[in-house]
Amino acid sequence: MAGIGFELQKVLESEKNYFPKVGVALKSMFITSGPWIISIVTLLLIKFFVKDIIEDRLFLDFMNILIYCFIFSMIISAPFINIITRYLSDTIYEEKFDNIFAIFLSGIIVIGSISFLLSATYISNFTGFEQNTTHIASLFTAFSILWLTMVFISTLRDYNLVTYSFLFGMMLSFFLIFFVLNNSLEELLKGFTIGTLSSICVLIAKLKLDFKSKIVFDFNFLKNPKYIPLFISGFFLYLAMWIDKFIYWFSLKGVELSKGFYFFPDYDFVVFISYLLLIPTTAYFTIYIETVFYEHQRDYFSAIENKKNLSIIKSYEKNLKDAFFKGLIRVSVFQFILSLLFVVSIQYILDDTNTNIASIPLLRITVFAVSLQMILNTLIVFLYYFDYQKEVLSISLVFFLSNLLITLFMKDLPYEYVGYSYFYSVLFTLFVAMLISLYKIERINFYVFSKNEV
Amino acid sequence: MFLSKNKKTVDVCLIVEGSYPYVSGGVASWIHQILNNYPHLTFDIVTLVASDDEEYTLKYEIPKNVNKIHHIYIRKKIKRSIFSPKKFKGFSNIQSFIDKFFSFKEYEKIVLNIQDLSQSKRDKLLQQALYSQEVFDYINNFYENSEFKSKSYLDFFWSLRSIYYSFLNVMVHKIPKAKVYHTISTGYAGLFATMCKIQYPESRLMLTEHGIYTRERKMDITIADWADRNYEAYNPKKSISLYKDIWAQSFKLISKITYRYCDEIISLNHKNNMIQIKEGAKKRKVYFVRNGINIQKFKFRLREKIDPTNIKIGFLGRVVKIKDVKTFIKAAKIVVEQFPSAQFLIAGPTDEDKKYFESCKNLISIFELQNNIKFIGLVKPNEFLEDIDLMILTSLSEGQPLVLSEANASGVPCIATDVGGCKEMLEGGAEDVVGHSGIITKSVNPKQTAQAIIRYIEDEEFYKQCSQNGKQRVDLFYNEEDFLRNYKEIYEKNINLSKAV
Repeated sequence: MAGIGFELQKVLESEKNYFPKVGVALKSMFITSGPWIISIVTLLLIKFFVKDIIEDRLFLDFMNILIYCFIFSMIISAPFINIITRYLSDTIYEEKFDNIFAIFLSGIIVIGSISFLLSATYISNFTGFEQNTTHIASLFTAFSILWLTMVFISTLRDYNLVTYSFLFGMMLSFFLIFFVLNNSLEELLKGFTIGTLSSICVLIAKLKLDFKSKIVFDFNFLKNPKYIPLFISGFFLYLAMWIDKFIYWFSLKGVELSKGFYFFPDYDFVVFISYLLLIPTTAYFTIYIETVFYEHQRDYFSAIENKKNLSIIKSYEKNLKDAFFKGLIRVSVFQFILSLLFVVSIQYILDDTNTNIASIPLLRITVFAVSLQMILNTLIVFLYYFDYQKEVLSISLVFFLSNLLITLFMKDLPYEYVGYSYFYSVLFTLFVAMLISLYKIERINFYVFSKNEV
Repeated sequence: MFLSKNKKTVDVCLIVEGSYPYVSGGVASWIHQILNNYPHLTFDIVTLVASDDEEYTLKYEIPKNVNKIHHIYIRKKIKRSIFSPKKFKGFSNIQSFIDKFFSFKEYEKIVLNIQDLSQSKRDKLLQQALYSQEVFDYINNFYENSEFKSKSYLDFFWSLRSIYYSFLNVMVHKIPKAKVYHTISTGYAGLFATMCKIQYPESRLMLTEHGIYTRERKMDITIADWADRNYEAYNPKKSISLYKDIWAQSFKLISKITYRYCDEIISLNHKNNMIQIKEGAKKRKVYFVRNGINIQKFKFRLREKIDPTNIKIGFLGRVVKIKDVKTFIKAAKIVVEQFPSAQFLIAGPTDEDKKYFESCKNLISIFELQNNIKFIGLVKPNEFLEDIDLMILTSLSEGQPLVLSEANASGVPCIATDVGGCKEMLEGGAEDVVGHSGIITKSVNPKQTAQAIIRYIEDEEFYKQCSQNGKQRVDLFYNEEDFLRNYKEIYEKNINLSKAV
C-alpha cells in the first residue's frame, strides 16, 4: 500500500476545515476497505428498498451468492495479491514505473481466470444455479479483481476518484436493480456485477492514464521463488479466518439454504456484523503505518544507506520500535473501545428488534475475537513491513491449524460454545505472533544486517 | 574435476590464488613452467578461486606429475539455515572463538580445532560466524570500541563480515598432505599455507612472491576507486577509504603471519626482499630468484637507430586498467605531434575488461590517432618483437615482467614505469653492472614516457647501447636455465629437509 497514507493524510488535512468529519472518515474507509463497504451497503440498500418488491426466496438466494462470492474471492485472490503487492513494491523501488500497468493486467488475467474457472466449476456442478453459472462466476471474478484493484489504487494519486468510483458503482447497481431490470436472480446478479465492474473500469482507466506502459504483460511475480512464503501465508491467513465458519456449515448446526450454499445463519450474521468493526480501525491503522511508521522506517533505512554511524542508526532504530509499540497500543485501544461500545449498545438495539436474543452472547465473543484479529492483523502488517515473510507464514499456519483443530474439537458442543473456538484460536495465535514480533522487533538491527546471505 | 591419482604424500603442494590453471598470465605461466620442467617431482595444486557459482575452464594442459587439484572457493555461498546455530563447541563460547579469530591470538589452536571438526560442524561454524546474534553483537562491540566508531557502520559491518567470511571459507577447507608446501603469494593462499604448516609441522613451507601482495591489493583498491573517478588524481600512496583500509590492514596481518610460518621467503628481486623484511619477514629467511626466459626463442638483432619516418613502438600486454594503456595512448599523442608517421602497436587480449578497452578506443578517437595506434590482438611475442623499435610498459603494478626480458633478448630497448622489479631489469642492481637497457619513468606520466621515446629517436648512441646491454643482461641474469636450476635445488633441499612421509 505504498504511498496511500501520505495521500490520505493530505486528503484529511486539506478537507478538515470545510468537510464534515464523518465524510472524511468515510473516505478513508473507502480507500482501505472499499469492497467490504460496497457489499454491505448494496445489501442494505437492497434489503431496505428492493426487498419489498422481490420475493423473499430470491433475496435469500442473492444474499447467499453475494456472501459466498465475498468470502471465497478473498481467500482465492489473497495469495496472488500478496505476491503481486510485493512484486509491485519491488518494481516501484526499482523505479520501473512503466511496468505497473502491465503487472496489473497480468494480475487481472491470473486472478480473474482462476476465479472464473473455480467458481464456474462449483456453480455448475454443485449448486442449483447452473443456469446462472456465467452471471455468478462473473460476479465472483469481479470481486476478486476488485481486491486486486485495491492494491493498485494505492499507487494512484486521486483518492477522490476512488471514492466517487465506488459511489458511482453502488448507485448504478442500485439504479439498475430498482428501476431497469426485471425481478429475477439473473437480473439482480447482472445489476450488481455491472455496478462493481463499472467501479473497476473507472479505476482501470485511471491507472492506464497514469501509468503509460511499454510492455503489455509482466508475469514475473509468478516466477520468483522468494515469494512462495508470501503466497502460502496469504492463502492460509484468510482460510484461517473462515475455517471455523466452514466447519460449522457442515456440522449439525449448519443448514443448506440453497443447494451448494451452506450456512450457519446465527453465527454468519454475527461474524458479518463483527467484521464491520474492523473497517474503521483498518482505515486508522493504514493511515498510521503509512505516515508515522513509514516515516520512521524510511529514516532508519536512510541512516543505514547514507552510511551513518551506529549510534545514529540506533537512535532511529529506537524511534522505529517506539512507532511500532505506539501503533500497536493505539490500534488495540481504538479497537477495544469500539468493540465495547458496540457490545454495550447492541443489546439495546437488538432488544427493540425481533432478532434472536440467543445470538447476543455469541455476538459478544465474536466481537472480541474480531478485535483480537485486528491486533493480529496489525502485527502481521508490521512483520510484512520488515519483510519477515517466514515469520508471517508460521503465524498463518498456527492460526489455521489452531482454528481448525479447536473448532473440530468444539463443533458439537452446545450452542453457547459457538464462537469460542475462533476466539481461543485468535488468542493463541496472537500470543504466538506477539512473542515472534517482540523478539524480532527487539532485534531489528541484527536482522536487517545479518539477513542478507553472503 | 581432477581426480586424485594416488594417496601417497606428494613432494610439493603448490598453493595459488586467482591464477593457475584457470587464469592465464605471468604467475600462471611461471607455475606451468615449474610443473613441466620437474617431471620427477609430484605435485598437488590448491587453487583458490572466487566463488562456486562461476564456471572455470582450464587455460593450461595439466602435466602428468600433478596428482590432484583442490579447489577453495573464497566466496562460497553459505545458505542461511532456518535455525541459526547458537553455540560453537570448539571453544568455550563463540565470543572467545571470534575474539581470538579476529586478533589472531591462539591462531594455531583455532586452525587445529577447525581441522578436528567434522564437515557438518565446519558448515555449522560458517553458519554461526555469519548469521548468529553473538557475532553480530561482537562486531557492534568491536566497532564501538574502535577508531571507526564515528564512521559508516554499514561499510564497517560488511567489510568485517566479508573479510572473516572469506578467511573462514579458506580455514574450513581440509588440508592435503605434502612434503613441501609452496605458496605463490601471501593473502588467502598464504593463510591456507600457514594452516598446512600448523597441521603438518614436519613439512616445509616456502613462499614465492611475484609482487608484494599487500601492496598489490591496496593498489587494486586504489585503482578501482581512481579509475571510476578522476584519472589525473591517481596516487598510489594516497590513503584509501575506511572499509578499504580495513581490508588492507587485514591482508597486512595475514602477510605477517605467512612470513612467520614460512621456512623460506623468495621474491624476484632485491627491492622486494627489502619490502618483505620491512613488512615483517625475518632477514635470514629471505632471498630472491629471478625468473628467466628461454633465450633461444628470441632472435637477437642489434638495434642501431630508429628511422624517424618509420617508427614502430610496441606495447605487449592485456588491455586492462592495471596496465594503464591510456598513459601509452597519451604519450603517443605527444610523440605524434613531432613524428606524425609514428606507429604504436598494442598487442594483447582486449576481452578481459571490455569497458576499459572501449574507453581506450574512445580516447584514440578523441585524439584522432586512429591511423597511428592499432590494437593487433594476440601475437607471438618473438615475432612481434622482431618488428618493433621500442617496447613500452606503462603498468601501475608489476612483479618481474618477463616482457622486458623478452624485449631485451630480442635487442629491443624498453621504457617502463618504476614499479616492481622494472628498474632492476632495465638499470641493474648491486651485482648487475651491465648498464642501461631501458629508461624508467614515473607511473601515469605520459609526458615522461613521450620524452623517453623521443630521446631514443634522437640519441642513436644511447639507443644502440641499450639494445646491446639488454641482450647481455638477459644472458647473465634472466635466462631460464638458471631459474630452473635454482628452483630444482630449492625444491630438492626442502624435500630432503622435510620430515613428512
